Amino acid sequence: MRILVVEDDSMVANGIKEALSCTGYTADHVNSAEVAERVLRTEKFDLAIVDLGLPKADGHELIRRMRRAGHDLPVLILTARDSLEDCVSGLDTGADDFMTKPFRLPELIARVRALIRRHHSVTSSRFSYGELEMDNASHTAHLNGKELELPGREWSLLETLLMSSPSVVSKDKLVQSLGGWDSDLTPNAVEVYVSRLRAKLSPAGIQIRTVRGIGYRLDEPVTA
Amino acid sequence: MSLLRHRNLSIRQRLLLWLVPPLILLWGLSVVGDYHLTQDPAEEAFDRALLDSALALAANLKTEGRTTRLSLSPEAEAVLRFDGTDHIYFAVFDDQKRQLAGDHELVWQSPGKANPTYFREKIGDEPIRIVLYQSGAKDHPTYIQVAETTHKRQHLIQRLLGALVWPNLLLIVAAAVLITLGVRSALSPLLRLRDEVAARSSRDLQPLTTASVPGEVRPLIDSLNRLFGLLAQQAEAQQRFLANAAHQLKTPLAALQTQLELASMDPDPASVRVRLQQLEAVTERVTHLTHQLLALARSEPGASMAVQMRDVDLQKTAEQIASSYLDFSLERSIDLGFELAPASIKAVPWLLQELLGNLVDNALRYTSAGGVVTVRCGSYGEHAFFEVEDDGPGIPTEERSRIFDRFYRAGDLMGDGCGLGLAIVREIADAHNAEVIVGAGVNDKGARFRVHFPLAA
Repeated sequence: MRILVVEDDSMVANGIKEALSCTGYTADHVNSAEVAERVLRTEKFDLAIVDLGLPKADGHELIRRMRRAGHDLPVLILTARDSLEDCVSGLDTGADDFMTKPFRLPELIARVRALIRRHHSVTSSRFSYGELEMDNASHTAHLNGKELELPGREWSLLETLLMSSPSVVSKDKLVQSLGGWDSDLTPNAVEVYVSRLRAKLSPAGIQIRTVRGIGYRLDEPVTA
Repeated sequence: MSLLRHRNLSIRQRLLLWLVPPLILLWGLSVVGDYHLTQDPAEEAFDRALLDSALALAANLKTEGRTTRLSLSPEAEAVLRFDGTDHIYFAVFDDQKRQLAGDHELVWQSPGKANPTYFREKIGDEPIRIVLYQSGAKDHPTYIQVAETTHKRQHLIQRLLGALVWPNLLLIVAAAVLITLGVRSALSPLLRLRDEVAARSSRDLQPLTTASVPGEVRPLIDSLNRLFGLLAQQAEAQQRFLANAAHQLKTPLAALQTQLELASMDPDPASVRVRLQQLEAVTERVTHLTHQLLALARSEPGASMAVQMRDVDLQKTAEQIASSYLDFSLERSIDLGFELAPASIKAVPWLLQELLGNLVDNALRYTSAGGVVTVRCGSYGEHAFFEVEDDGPGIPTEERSRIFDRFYRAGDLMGDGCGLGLAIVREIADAHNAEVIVGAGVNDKGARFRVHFPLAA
């Protein structure tokens, strides 16, 4: 996986680069929108991390140009202007997620992972989460390399949790995701499927955390 | 008058516009009025003299049977015709329109309803005034005309106009000058005030002097002075806040510097690692403080706030809070739970997130490991509410009014907040017409913060 970091502050950029390569990603750093555009024309990247406050053309402009040029890679906005309006307008111009500076590296890595995962689920039928591999086309799942038995409702539920991670998913949303299977499913039934999934996933360290009163969140095992 | 509706006219212009043109109009009216008032009686006097001549002629008419003739001695005719400036004509006609005597320049005039009747006619190019008097028996009348040229009358008109127009004009000019001077003098306190305000530096918030200010302007000055007072207070509060903020930033920065210096000298990798962990914690404190300072600055009421208000689902916002604060609660081993019911309010979305987030953050910071924090929202009656309850140490009643002050931190608490969270909460609540109520949690343990919002219409 290759990530393009567009950031004019070299200290921040180096930190991000190092953290990404520790997690197993390849990261390239450029310090302006103009260079980023040039690099994107010739090289292939899986994700771009874009700082909004770039010299000359700013991040918004870069994202707009990227989308116009037909690059569909996911974009994560990084900004010191921590105004929500700014970030929302970034999402409007075609970014996929945003983080405000200063940020914690583990959170950055989690967001990067989630974005790449979501993007791959659109472009290909296979996606992975830690030691879990799922293939939507053949409807087969593997955990630690061994095939995992996942009946339809459990599959849908896990897929919803996985796509939303690291956000919390409400029970209502999970009920809706199972709507194709049952018309009047109760939130209690969701609990049953969740406990079955928990039993199946715990050997790989993947946790489904209960958030009291709202729903669940899928937690990846912490990789050192 | 549409000019007067023009908003940008100065008071001076308005006053002059209201006073000077009507004055000129009045001058015109008064000249016309005065002219008629004096000219009409004068004209009547001239006419009467003319009639007197006609009557004198009538007295010299001799009627014998069906014929009438004028017997006028040459002396009497000379007296009749004598006039210094005007030429006098006369003529006598019978009822068959035949001229019996007099001047042939005068022609037959049909009598009017009244007797005598007056006409204006011309002889050649010369305007004349004629009186026609009917004398004699009803069935056999004689018509006497006496006429004169109008030189006397025209002289009178010219004299009258001269006597009326010039003094009047002088009066008007004097009034206009006086009005202009008066307006200028009346406005001078205002102009002085304008200069005083214009000359002020932006830092000078001393009240304006009210001496020598007209009574009408006084309320304005008083309001301005009140505003200056408020601004001065605000500037002072801002100064205090800045000093406080700088102090708050300096403390963790000092810690950072010491730990960094020690770490660079420390030969033991294990203890360097411990120092680095401390550095991380301190950095987080600085980050948090910076965020809070910014949030506070942004939550201050501004013009843009009303524009950003929209219908917001309180439950959804609370659910987003869950994603943001779950990791923080896990780090602190606090059970963060939710009891949410639908509620919709009018709010600025990001400010609402900031408000809810700060209440949750506050509860997580001041509750010890193993504690329980519960977030609730819903609606009842006319209100929506959002509530965060913890089972931490709680807030003593006597401190409850002060916890919303900026940089106030409950004395003996172990929390590591910066003392701005609740100030932000109150600022945002105020901007949303919401009320924050502080109480104790279940069984009088811990604290409970409840925010009442007006429901979205």
